[in-house]
Amino acid sequence: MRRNSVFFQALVFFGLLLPGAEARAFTLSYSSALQGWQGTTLTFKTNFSNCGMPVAELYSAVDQALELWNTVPTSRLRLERGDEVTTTVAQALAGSAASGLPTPLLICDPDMENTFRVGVSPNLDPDPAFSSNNIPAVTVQAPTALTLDYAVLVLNSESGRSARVSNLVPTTLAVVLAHEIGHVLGLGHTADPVNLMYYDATARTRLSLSQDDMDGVAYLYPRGEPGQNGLFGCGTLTVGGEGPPRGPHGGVAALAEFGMVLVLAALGTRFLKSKTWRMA
Amino acid sequence: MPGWGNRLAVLGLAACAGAVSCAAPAHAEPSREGWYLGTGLVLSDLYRTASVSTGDLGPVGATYFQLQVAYATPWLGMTLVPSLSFTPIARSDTDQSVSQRLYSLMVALEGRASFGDYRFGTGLRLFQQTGNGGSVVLNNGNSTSTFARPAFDSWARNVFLDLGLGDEVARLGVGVPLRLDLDLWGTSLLSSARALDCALSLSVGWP
Repeated sequence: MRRNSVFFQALVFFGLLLPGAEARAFTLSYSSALQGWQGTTLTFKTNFSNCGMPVAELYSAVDQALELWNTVPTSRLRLERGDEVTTTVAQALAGSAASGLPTPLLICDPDMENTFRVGVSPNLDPDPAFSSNNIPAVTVQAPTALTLDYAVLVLNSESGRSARVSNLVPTTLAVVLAHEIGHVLGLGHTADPVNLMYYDATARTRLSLSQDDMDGVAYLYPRGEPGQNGLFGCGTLTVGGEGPPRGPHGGVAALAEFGMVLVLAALGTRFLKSKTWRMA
Repeated sequence: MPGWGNRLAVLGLAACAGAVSCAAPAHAEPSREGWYLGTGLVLSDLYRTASVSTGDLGPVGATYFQLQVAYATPWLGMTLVPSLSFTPIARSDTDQSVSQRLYSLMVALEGRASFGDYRFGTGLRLFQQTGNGGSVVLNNGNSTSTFARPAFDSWARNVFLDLGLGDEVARLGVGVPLRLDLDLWGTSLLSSARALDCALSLSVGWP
């Protein structure tokens, strides 16, 4: 009698869940054929010399934002913060990876409105209506490449502007940076305010990714365990510096990893079998 | 839809907890043997994805329906249970721009205890995303921009560890066993990307 009751409870449970396929989506920056950055590690250079706020606070926010994207288990990509460079805004926007520009680059612009109204490079169309009063950051990419190799994340440090990064509370600053880093990775906006990639971060009080954000980065950078990426996330523990060594690669390493798991399983089995007094 | 997600999550977690508590016969039985065909749910990314516009986390990310086939056979005094599962109904958005499916191949060792069957194992999870291309106009700064929709197939592979509980909950008319099983799948356990999925399944066997 009790078992029949459980059976019907289970049926009711599955029935209730039938409408449960959520309807959401992610988009890509500018092309359906976009393939993202190559490789498994992406190092962000910085030039925070004109930010109008303590650099340590910016580093902290950048590290939080990078670490957020490192928490996607289905993504192979590992983000880290690199060295401080002396590249100027004009050089960065006019440059390309081929010209030796450190990229991706995070840089503060104390003259942001003018920069984007004029448009100083082939990577940037002039926008006469651009206002730095409510836009804390903009990501500029080369909108023709299908494999990404160039991105500049421009932070608003224009004095007297409400959207200046120094006016943002730490959580909002980290959210803004994480959103723009999403663009650097190749993600576009979404229509759902639950997503980090929604265009307006005003309502967001917590740094987090939605399922769509994670699906988007997994789409562009699918993880390849075993073999291509270390098992169980090995090598994605920290952010900053050169980071820990990557996990083993290749088919032999994959077989070795599986062998290790099987040995552990066999040892566990022996242990459990030795505890026969606990079994029925 | 976020409201639905929360309700689903509460239902799912309650059912998971229920499966643990109710799958406990008072007497010992031999371990199972033979083929099992089941259906169930995968509740992915427990307590790690935003569910509201403030960014606060919800109990469950995406929910998938899955079909599962498993074969149970005695091995080393326990039961070896290789299984294969997939999601026949793709998870998709309203515009059908992206379809997502899960496939998993798992090998587990199952033992018998007073509270039911317990198992541990490892497996490979494949996450397929298929894009249909196209574009959409969305807000961008002070105006709007055209963003691209994905157009290709993308496969992500994760090795996971499994811990599970289950038991026979009923015998159907012709003596066919009906099982309820709960599994926790852990991925990327050695990193900040560690995630837990919960799989709840109901299966029938023909030993």
